[in-house]
Amino acid sequence: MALTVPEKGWFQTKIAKDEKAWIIIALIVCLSLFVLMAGWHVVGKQNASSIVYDTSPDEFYKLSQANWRKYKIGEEEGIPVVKPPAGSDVFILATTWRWEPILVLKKGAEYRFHISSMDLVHGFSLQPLNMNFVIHPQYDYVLTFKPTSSGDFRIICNEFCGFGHHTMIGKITVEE
Amino acid sequence: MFMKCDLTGFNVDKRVIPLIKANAVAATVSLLLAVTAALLVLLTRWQVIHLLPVDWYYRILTFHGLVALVVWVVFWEMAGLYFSSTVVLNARQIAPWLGWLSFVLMVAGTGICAFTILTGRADVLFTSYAPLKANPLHYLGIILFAVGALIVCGLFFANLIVAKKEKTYGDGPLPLFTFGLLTAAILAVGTLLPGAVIFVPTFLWSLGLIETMNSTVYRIVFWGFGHASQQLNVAAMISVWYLVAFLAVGGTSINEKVSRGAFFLYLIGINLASAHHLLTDPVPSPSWKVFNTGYFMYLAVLASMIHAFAVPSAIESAQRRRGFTKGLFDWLKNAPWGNPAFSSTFLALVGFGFIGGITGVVNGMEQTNMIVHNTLAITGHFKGTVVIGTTLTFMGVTYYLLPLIFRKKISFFSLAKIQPWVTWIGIAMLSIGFSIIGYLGVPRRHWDITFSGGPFTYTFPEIADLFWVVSVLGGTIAFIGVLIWVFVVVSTVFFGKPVKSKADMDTQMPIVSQPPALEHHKGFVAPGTFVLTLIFIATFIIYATLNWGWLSALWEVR
Amino acid sequence: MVEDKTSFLERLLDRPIALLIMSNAIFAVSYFIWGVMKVWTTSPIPEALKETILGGK
Repeated sequence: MALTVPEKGWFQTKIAKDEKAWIIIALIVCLSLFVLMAGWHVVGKQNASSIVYDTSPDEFYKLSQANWRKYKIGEEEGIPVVKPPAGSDVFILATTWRWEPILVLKKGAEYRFHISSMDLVHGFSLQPLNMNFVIHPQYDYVLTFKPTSSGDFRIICNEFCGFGHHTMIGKITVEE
Repeated sequence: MFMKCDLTGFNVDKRVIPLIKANAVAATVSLLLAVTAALLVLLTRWQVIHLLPVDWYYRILTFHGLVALVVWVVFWEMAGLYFSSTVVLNARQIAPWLGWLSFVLMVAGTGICAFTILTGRADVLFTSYAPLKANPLHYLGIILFAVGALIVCGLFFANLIVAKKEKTYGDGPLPLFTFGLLTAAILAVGTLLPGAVIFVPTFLWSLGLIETMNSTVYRIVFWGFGHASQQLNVAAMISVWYLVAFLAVGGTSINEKVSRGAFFLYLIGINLASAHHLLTDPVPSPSWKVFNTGYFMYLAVLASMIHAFAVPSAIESAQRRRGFTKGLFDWLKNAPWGNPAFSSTFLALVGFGFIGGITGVVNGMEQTNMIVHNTLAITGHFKGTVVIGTTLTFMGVTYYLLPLIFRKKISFFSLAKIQPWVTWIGIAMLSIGFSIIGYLGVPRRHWDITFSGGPFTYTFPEIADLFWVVSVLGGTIAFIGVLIWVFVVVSTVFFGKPVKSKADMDTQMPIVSQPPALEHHKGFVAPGTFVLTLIFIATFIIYATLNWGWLSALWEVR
Repeated sequence: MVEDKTSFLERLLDRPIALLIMSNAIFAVSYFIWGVMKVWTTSPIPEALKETILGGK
């Protein structure tokens, strides 16, 4: 009774058959979810990385510039276009309100993305795939991507970062 | 100091009634402000109207988030804590003046926040992720509000201890409703303390007394407050479900041990779920994420599923004992649908389970979170929990508070009867619409999804346009639903006819007597509920499979 | 002597303050302390990696 003290012996009352069956089903589902989540780290190909480094905006900016200089192939809208070789480190810089550089990647190759912010927290949202990560200042988030589809992709910011938030959009091209 | 309630037989401390009324009134005003802001936000996001300019969009969004997610629900819960720790227990209110002090703190905190937000001094959204900085007053307002609410939690515990000592409610454990709210109060302490812990240094940082704020530590501690505060809503909402099942059909949990055990599981695991806000963050590590969102192997999810059986089975069992035994669902067909508290509760239960619950569990898994993080799907999810669940439930049980606490007959009762349905349909459309749009990639909290002024453009899949229409339509319907509720409540409080006797109450909001006791039998006690829960689990498995299928088609990442 | 039949869990459920401490202790250790420790123990970018990035090729 929701408004009164339970009757004596409430703790010893046997659980009804249907309720017991339901609890067992629910428990099995919960355990499966847990196993799925942990197991995907072993068998699955999509897992957020465990690699992260402390950095500073200054240091990360310097590394990015050095990295882009090596692989720069042009410029678009004042943003460097960078084509890193397969298997290399790739630096992506989030600044209010800009994603740099524009990347040209190859389908099926692996790249170690280093992503960090110069100022606020930003959201790295890869469209139209819809893969989303949170990017912090002071942290170098290392995510190893392997593009499995080709075409034109966009990085949009999906964490509020001021009134220009909606203008923060970048580009990745994946070649066959 | 005490008076005997002629409707319920409870011994009521007269000093607590104005406290309950004040908090309920504050809650109602907040809800009205919150939904008005919500409509403005929604009409801006729909690019066809794009109502507000960019600065006002984020300002109104900040206001909406804070008032809807914290102010409205917490004020309501304060009323619930007073009610459940005094009236229900025939107990006295300890130090009512402290209650008034906390009320003043909470109102002042809300006022300060509203002022800083609406004057453009805190364009940081509800989450105010550092290093985004607001005026110090904004953080001060939140701290005052949290301290006020913490004091009420303290009073609640004090009331319980004194009531037990003075044996006001008989010899034995607390009634289930109060035990549920005890769970909520414990979770509230766990959420308000981190709230104070994170906003005090943020306040000092905003004043310039602390040099830097670590953005990851801020997010960990903020979500210890921001999400856990929604978990206490869940506990409070489910307590109300048990209460309404009892008042409206005389239903009691078919096994008190199971229901209490489920609340106990909440106490162990549910606050750890805050970790699912950080699933796509660089830190903390995957082991921390899996362990915490595994809620100690999903103990809290298990608990919610147990309640999902226990509440409808309480109703079913009572109805069957009353003679509605035909088939699987005769009990449901003959339930008191004309009682708006009952219809609100049942609709909230279905909506919370099928929309909020399913999306919540799947979106909260470490890997599938990658697909929806910070997209509109998250907004869709919590419309399916905080609004269709908690808000609808609180609105519904208010129909009992009006005659019992305010002693007024409900005005425009026929409007009250349709209100739960209107609100439910609207929110369901909004929630499902937002979820689908989110899966298509549309970000949450974004002024212009055509990216005007950016170096590139991007167009979301066209099908999103259709679901924008569904969402805007749903949001508008839900807004009307809330307006109906506010209209009914306000006209009842100010112009309603007084409730003079039990007969006055019985014509609208009867407190139903207990059905005959359950005869010993071997079969299923609640076969209808069992079938409903099986449908639920099937829906859940389909939704989870779709998500994991989608995930496996994405770029590889490690 | 009367046998005490109430189990540990039954008694625990009737102790609000014990529940308060238990619940928040778990939350504090598993979520906050562990989480913040993880933040404090992140390492800087390895020197070798920095050299390859900065080194001309």
